[in-house]
Amino acid sequence: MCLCLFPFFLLKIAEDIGSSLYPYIYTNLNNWPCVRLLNATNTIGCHAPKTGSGVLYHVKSQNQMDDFVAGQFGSSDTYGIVLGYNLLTRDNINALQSTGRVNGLIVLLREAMNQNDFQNLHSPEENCPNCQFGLYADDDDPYNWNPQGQNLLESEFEIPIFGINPVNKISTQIYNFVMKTVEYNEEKGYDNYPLQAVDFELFMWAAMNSETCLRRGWCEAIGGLSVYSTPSVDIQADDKKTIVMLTAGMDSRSLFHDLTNGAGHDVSGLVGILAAAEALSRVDTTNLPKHILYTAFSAESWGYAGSQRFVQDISQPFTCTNESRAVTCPYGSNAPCTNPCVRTLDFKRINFDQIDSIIELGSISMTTNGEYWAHVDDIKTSESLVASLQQQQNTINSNASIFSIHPAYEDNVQRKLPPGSSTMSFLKQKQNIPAVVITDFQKELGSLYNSDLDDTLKGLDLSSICQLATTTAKTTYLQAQGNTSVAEQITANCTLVESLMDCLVSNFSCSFMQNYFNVSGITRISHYSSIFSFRNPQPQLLPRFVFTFLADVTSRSSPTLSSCATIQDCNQGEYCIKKQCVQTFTNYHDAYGTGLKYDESSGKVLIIDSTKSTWTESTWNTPVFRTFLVTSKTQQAIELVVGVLWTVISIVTVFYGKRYFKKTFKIE
Amino acid sequence: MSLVTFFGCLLVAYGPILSIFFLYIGQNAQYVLLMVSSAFFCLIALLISSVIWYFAKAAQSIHPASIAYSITVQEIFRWFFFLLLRHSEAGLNVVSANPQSPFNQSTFSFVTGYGYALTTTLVSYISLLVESIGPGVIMCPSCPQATTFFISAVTTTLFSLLHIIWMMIAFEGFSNIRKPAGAARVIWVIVSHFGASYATLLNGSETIKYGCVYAIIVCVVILSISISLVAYSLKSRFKLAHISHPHSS
Repeated sequence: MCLCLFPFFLLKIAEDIGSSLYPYIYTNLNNWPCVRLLNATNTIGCHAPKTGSGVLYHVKSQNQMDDFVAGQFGSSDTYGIVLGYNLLTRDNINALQSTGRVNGLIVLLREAMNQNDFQNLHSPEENCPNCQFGLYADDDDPYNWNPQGQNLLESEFEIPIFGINPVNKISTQIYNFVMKTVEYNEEKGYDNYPLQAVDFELFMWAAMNSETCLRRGWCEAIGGLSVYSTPSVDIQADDKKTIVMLTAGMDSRSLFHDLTNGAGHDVSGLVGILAAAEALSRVDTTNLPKHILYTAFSAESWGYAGSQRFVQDISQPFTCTNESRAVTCPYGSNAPCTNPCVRTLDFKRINFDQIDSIIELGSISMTTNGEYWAHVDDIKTSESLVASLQQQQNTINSNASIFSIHPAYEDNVQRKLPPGSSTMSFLKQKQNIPAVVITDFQKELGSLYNSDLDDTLKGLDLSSICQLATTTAKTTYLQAQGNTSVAEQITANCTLVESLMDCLVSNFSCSFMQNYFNVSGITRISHYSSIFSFRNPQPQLLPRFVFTFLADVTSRSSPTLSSCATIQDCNQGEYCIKKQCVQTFTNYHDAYGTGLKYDESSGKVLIIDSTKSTWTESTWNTPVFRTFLVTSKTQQAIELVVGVLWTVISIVTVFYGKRYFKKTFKIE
Repeated sequence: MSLVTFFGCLLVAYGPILSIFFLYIGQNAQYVLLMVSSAFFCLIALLISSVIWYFAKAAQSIHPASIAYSITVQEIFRWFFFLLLRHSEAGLNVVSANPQSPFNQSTFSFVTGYGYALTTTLVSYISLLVESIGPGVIMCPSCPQATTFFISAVTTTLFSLLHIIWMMIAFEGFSNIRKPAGAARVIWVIVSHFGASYATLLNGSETIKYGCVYAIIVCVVILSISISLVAYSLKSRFKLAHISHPHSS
């Protein structure tokens, strides 16, 4: 409906009383941006105040990209480039930024990419991610775990980058719309105006580094809630029983935080220990000589924030000062201590010095020939643990598929622990704990490490995860007890593994999840740990699920045996899991960088150690990218010239008209 | 560079208005007052049209209907202002620069017309002009190579001139309403107003190619005819004045 008429009454479309013309010119698109993060020294990610407009151009191949960079395409216009994730390489981005003719990037992710684009993928991570926070930060020659890494995640971009992945209704609409506008431009041949253009707004408030932005209030600490659980409900720090730990990372990282999935790294590891915990719940573990402790750490991608803070808190004495606070403690008056404000003091019952061995499951879903690799820090300390694992692996009747565990140093190269291992935080404190990290890679992290494309179950080896969970559970039991006959009965539930992977990767509202939560309408959840709220720390969906699941498998029934609907129906200290009141030793633990400290008396977050994790995320305005039609510069110039000419003519006419009328008609 | 479009359309739409104001009307306080009063009357007319539009929900998207009642109200208010002016003409003449001049009525009607032109052009085009500051454009449906902003600017500038001329013709017609010449003038104003407005419907038509050109041609033709009408009556008044006052200087 045209609005270019009727200078007689207000130009409104009937249905939109009081609205402007904006929606008829611009289409704002909901979107997933790359955002700005800060640490102790610098900023990474994207920041762009309002950009100029750029004609939409879809680059479909590396050749097209090279042509564009070389200037063999298009006039001196600015372009907004649409490209697949496979073309998002370091070289391409640098080249595009240096042309000065690109106002932003729109990246097509898995569901929007062509099949043949998946062949040449590279991990966007750096060569040794998080190594400056790990166990080998001071090594002279650290092993290069990610030689083909593009080093995008730790870079700062000058242009805004948005991602599109048609995984739900809205994003599919957006994807279709963008593709339509891109095709429109293609049909017009990019020089037949008017063309579709795009502009971006991705304003980040924080700048410089964490210390500055925290002081100014423009950023928040990145973090989440870790979960720890043990079947030994009556564990005490001084009960002289050692602890066997099973651990995995709970969060993932990628360029677009709203879409971060990490099916391979690290959801598979988490599923592995959940399945192992479930397998162990079917035998009696409370009367063993050692405790079994399950831990899932949050914010591990951000300098091992979760595990380091946990280690720090269980190895240092805790002093409750109960001094005055700037903000009331969010855990209410029942909190065991108000300064520092803690949810529970149960972590004091875990004695760090009693930790006897650690088994960690990392990325375990993309095996070749069912082979797993056991990484250790020191061969002498941990080789018995590796041997135990291999022994248990042999007991598995695997005629269905091949499955094997190999020491990663089998080829006589000691690469030590791979990045992303929470175990490093424990070994940093005490290096002679026997510890094994099991992964599906031996030498390299792989092309999907921390990639936005690590979000599918296709090509993942779920049955091997199941067998690994069984092996891990058996080994853990033997470490804790030593009774081989009972270990025979321990098997992981493979259907459980499939359900868990499906729920946590593709569809959080799956039927399996309904056992724990009444949830619907949520399919993909983001596995980015997001920011840590000191005023109201609420667990995200994933930690909440892990808590509930572990509480379920490590629980013992309440002596009163009551059924319940919510936690209020149960006694103090009990939880309502699967409609039963249960007692369990399962808790959350704060996870945010150990280089940060929350000063309770002032309510501010301070940097206390810049060598440790100090990651924060900037606050931002609503990111906008919108499409609209533009005309050529020539046409705009013509409009201006016509206007000037017309005004000059009218001035001249009025001037001479006045003179004429004065002379002839004697009118003033 | 959308600011280029903004200034271009601004100058196209408001060129005559700005030049007439700064070079003619603004230099005489009486004219400014007259202009403001007539602008106010036009504003009331537009307000009433909007109220009718708001309540006539069924017809809100039927543009020909909206044009019909809008023009009717504007013409009625033209007549009201003429009545008002006639009552105050004596006083206005006394204060004017040349109290005996027979062209005072033409001058007053010119200024009144300018008031109408100012209000209608401001109310109709400003919101579109403001949108042209941003980078995006809407293309005119009937002339897909030109933007809506530009075509509307052209329409606006033509209508500003038309309103001035219509007012001059209408006042002549109202003062001689009993004579056929006067009545014919009034009828011409009303009919050509409807004609020009309905012609702008072609701007938005998606079926008629180059509809915007036809609309502009229609408006220019009406403008030319109206200007010649005004010129003819001015000349005849001039002749009349000279016959009765052969020694006027």
